[in-house]
Amino acid sequence: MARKYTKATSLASDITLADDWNDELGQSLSTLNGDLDQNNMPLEAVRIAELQDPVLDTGTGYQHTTMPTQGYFHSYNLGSGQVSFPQTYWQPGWNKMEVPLAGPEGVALEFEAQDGMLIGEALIDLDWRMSYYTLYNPDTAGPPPDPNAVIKFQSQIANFVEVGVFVNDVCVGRTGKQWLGGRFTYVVPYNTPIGSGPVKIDTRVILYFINQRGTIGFVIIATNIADVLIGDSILWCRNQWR
Amino acid sequence: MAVIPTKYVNPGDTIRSAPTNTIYTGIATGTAALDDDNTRQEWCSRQHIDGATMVNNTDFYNVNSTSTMVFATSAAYTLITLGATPMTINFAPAVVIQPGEALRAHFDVNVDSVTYNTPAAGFLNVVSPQDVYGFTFYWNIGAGLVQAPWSPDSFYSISAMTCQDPGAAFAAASVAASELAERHRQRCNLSMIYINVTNAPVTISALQARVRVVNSVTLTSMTLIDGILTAMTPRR
Repeated sequence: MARKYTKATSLASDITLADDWNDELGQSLSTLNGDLDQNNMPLEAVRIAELQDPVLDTGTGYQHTTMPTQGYFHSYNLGSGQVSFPQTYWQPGWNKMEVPLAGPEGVALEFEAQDGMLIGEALIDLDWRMSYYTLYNPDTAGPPPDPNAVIKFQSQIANFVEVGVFVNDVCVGRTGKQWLGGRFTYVVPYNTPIGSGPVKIDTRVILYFINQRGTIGFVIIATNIADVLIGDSILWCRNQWR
Repeated sequence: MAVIPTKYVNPGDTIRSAPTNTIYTGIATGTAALDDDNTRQEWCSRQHIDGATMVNNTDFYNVNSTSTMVFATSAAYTLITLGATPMTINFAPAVVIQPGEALRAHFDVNVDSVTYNTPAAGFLNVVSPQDVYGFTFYWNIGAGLVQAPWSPDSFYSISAMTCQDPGAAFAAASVAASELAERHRQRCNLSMIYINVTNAPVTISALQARVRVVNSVTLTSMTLIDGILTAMTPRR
């Protein structure tokens, strides 16, 4: 409560003493000099001009803006073509997309969060085509690579993915298991409460792959497991604190 | 202006006009230039914000239609018009994105059916895959309608067919393309956020959702239905 009241009203024809003067003026000035509070301020008077300007922070693949009531944080990887994520890098469980993309652009965000909520979305364009097998029929013709004895078999049921968003390694949004027969762009919304402190948000993917081992009557002589291709991706977050 | 100067009067002094007027002048000058050094932290409550001028509210724009569009495909991005409703938000008045402020946009639509000629080779052209279509945002920020540079290209495919040539010697023995399942009734999404990182306001008069195919020779027709385009302008 910063509002101050007159301590002692001077009466007409009184001589004003130093203490009266100093006490009255001193308390008013101390209020003005850094102690003005809600009760001193007019209601419905704050407009955009009174709010602080946003603070920007930009760099390769990211844009951050911090405003008085909220912050927006944006990581992007746009228009750079498809990046291959070959099977030799696949991990069981969640795969951090920073690995195949060799950086955080589009798939990871780091910033200093303030106590409140995080709300955002991850968008990622994934392309996972069918794998195929080269089979040899030992009942016909000569040994491979006899073209008359070799066929290709495309495996169209094998590819499933799940896309998730993690905040400080806690999953806060996920698509559930999706059949990725071809190309699909996933948009994953998420939200979570957050405390003040450093935060890292990233996009991860589970790859479900059924490695077929054989076909009756044929011998597999080559396996070609399709790479996962990653196209455009963005990850953005709104930190709402007031 | 954090400190308004004053001069205390000593006991026994006569309060004279000159120092008194100096103090009054200091108060008059100082109170006209109060800043955040004069206030306590976090003094501003919701009741102090002017509700009439939408200081930190989020404006919301929306256009939607449950009608259909039969898209005779094109490799160039084409405005989506569902029935008689173009997926265009014409901002009236145009929205002004101040430095550091943002625009969020989202679009989704159902791709109901397609006319698709499967490639005879048993694999797709890797440069121009025959079964791929995509969406993006266009906007007008004063230079006409162009693809918004912050919009992803949101791509989808009709099939799971491989883009790799299994090998010339054995290609003819690949599984017939006609036996592959096609994906229909896909709900397609597109999302964008734009943050004005320049030092000047950016005025956006229109936002559009557009569609294209990568190869219009094989993917000749698409039926789009039930689309929603939304935009929000988060403020401070």
